[in-house]
Amino acid sequence: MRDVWITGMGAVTPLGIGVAPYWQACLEGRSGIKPIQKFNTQGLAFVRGAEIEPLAADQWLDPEETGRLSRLAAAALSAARQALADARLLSEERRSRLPSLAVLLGTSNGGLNDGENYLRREPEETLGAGFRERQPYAFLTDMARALGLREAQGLNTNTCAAAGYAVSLAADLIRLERAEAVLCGAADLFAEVVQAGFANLRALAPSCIRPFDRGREGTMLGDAAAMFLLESADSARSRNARPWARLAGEGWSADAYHISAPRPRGEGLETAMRRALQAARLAPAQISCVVAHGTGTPSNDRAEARALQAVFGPDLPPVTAFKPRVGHSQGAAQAVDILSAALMLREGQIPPVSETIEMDPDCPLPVVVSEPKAGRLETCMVNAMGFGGNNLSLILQQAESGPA
Amino acid sequence: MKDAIVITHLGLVHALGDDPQAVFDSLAAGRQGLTRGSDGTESAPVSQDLRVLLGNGKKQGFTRSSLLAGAACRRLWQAWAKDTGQPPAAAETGLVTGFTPDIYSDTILQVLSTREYHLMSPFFFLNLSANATASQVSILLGIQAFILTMSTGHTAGLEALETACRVLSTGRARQVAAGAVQEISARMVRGFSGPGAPPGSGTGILEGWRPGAVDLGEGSAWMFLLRADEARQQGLRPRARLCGFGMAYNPEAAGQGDPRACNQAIAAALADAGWKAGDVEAVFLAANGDPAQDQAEMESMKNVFGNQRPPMTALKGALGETWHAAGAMAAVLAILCLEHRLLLPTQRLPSSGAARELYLPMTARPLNARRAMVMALDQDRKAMACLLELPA
Repeated sequence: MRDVWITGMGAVTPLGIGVAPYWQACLEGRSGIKPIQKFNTQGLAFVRGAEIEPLAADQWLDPEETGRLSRLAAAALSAARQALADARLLSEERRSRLPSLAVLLGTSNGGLNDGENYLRREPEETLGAGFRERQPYAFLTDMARALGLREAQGLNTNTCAAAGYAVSLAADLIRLERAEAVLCGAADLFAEVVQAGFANLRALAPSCIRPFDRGREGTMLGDAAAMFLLESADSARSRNARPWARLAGEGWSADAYHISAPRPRGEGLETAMRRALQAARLAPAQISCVVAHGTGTPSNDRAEARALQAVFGPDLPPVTAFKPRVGHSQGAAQAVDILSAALMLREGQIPPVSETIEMDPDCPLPVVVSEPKAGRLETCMVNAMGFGGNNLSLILQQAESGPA
Repeated sequence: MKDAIVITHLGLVHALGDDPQAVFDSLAAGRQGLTRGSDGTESAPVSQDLRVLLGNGKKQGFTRSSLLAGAACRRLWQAWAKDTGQPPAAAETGLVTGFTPDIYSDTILQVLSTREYHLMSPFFFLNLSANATASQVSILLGIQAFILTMSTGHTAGLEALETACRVLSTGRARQVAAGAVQEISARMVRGFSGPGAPPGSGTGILEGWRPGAVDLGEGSAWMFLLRADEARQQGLRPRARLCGFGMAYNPEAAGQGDPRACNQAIAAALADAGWKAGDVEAVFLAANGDPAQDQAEMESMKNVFGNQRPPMTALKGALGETWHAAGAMAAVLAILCLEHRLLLPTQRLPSSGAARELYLPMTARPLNARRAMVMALDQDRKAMACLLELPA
């Protein structure tokens, strides 16, 4: 099967618009978690989250677009344009040199946050045309329309693993020679009812996310959009595109266990990691670092730690996590993590999880906790465990070191 | 498609029956699934006791969508076990679901208007997740290779099939249950037919309860997909082979009856299958009574087939617009039509208008065909075509 490279990346996160401000904040250990502004939090038990800033100042969007599009569609469009520009494919003239450009995205909430605002304004408009135009998948077609794309589009809603599934499905399109390039990634905005739902699940923390810490209290929700231009290595070479990383392999699995809780020993994620290693033809010892799902909830972190120990044994590579930086952006979470992993490979730095102070003895992982850890990284594993028992493990590799 | 992917088992739950053959027989007899509600709208709700279909009244925590999907999938599993003596291996079986939850439910409206956040109970909240249905079905049947939910509206059912084909080609599972589910709520029915709906200019292929209105149906349709060599190895009889898929999006179209997305999707599917337009021997239209969508599809049939149009039918006049499930439901019924050599009738065909030019059958008609095309349209902007054939 053909080699797949990431040749473009873009992001809108609570740490800013673009990849560079996000990465700088990660290295500095800054967090985008603040008091929630986008909806009235009166009556909610937890009032902090990680929101993206208003998109009016986003240079990747026309003022007309920020006025017309939903916030979710606008965030996705901004990230998509960044990714295409990064791959030197933003202009339609340049893009026309590709045989096609399919779009595969992931989300969990879809347009729920925008839908809430709409319902508050004019609930009866949900009947009729407005109802049909405000379905969870509308942001995908709005984004594709703004980009002038005419090819296949797909949207999966595999909860917190949705982004990884979107990227993996996109890579498969290229591997199977059904596409030369695919725009993929995810976008998600947390909504008021989701904040309430997570609170009622007792899954939220009041102030910060502390993955694998003895005193971790839960997770916090965040907004994000992160997009990638995946391309066959041949296509990328033919136009001298610089790869961020090679997609070495992905592993999928389902828990078939519980609608929200993972299997206690993380067997589902363990299977996904083993499948990813097999697909990438790598041994555990060849993994340079792991971006953990690391939600900060007691049961999730414990299951993930057990799964990592089962796969890697005593020789675990360094582990980091990015939800303390940008919150848990659910359907977009693994897109942020993949973006982070690609940055780690290129920059040779593993950002720290400064919120984790005292490791939970039940989660004895080599988490990078204080300073960025520097050094050449060959490979990076990125994990996700979603509600409903969706697991996806994905391995990025230096593009030069994979098979030609 | 490079790999030969076959369908070995079918499952279908609808108001007209709880297995594919029962629904097919009802349609062949000209029975109507749509009923009129107290507010005058028409729809096709499933009235069977879904918990009974799941067996022993279990799974109290299931949503209606999960019950619909679970009931149809359970039949697949039973049929598989009957053929092979055992259920499909959990670790090697995947599930691709076309589905989107109703994010404009009355409960959400109430939470937003009253701030009664306790209503977002863990049960309700988790079932709001688009992946909840796939998750509950995976728990019911022990599916462990993967679960995947595609939430793309009218094309979701065919997308589920196409995605399953790719998954099988990459070897991520040995067999995949692919299909889609649609439940309907009173709000959803009004959303498709209420005062804010398109006013309805001109006529479509079908007539709704009022011009321009789309009558909703609910149900669930599923198929087991395998690589042909794998089916042979497991001793399973292929019911049909999936030959090609095409999808296209027309950013300029906006309720204008523009056929370009449809044309492009069909061209892509034909290229994928290595077929010519003349190889298509039957067409299962996506027509649902939306004037713009129906006009786009009618125009496309003329563009693609010219005067040599194959036999066509449109089933939503009896099934209702089953939205996410529509493509999968049409694929199941297309296979049965090919197997039974019978073209199911189109109900609610207008008495006049351009649709008459398609010569849709008003009663079941003999069909001498092995190859069919199934269409799915999201208004006139996004289109998908699926080509399938009976085994030689």
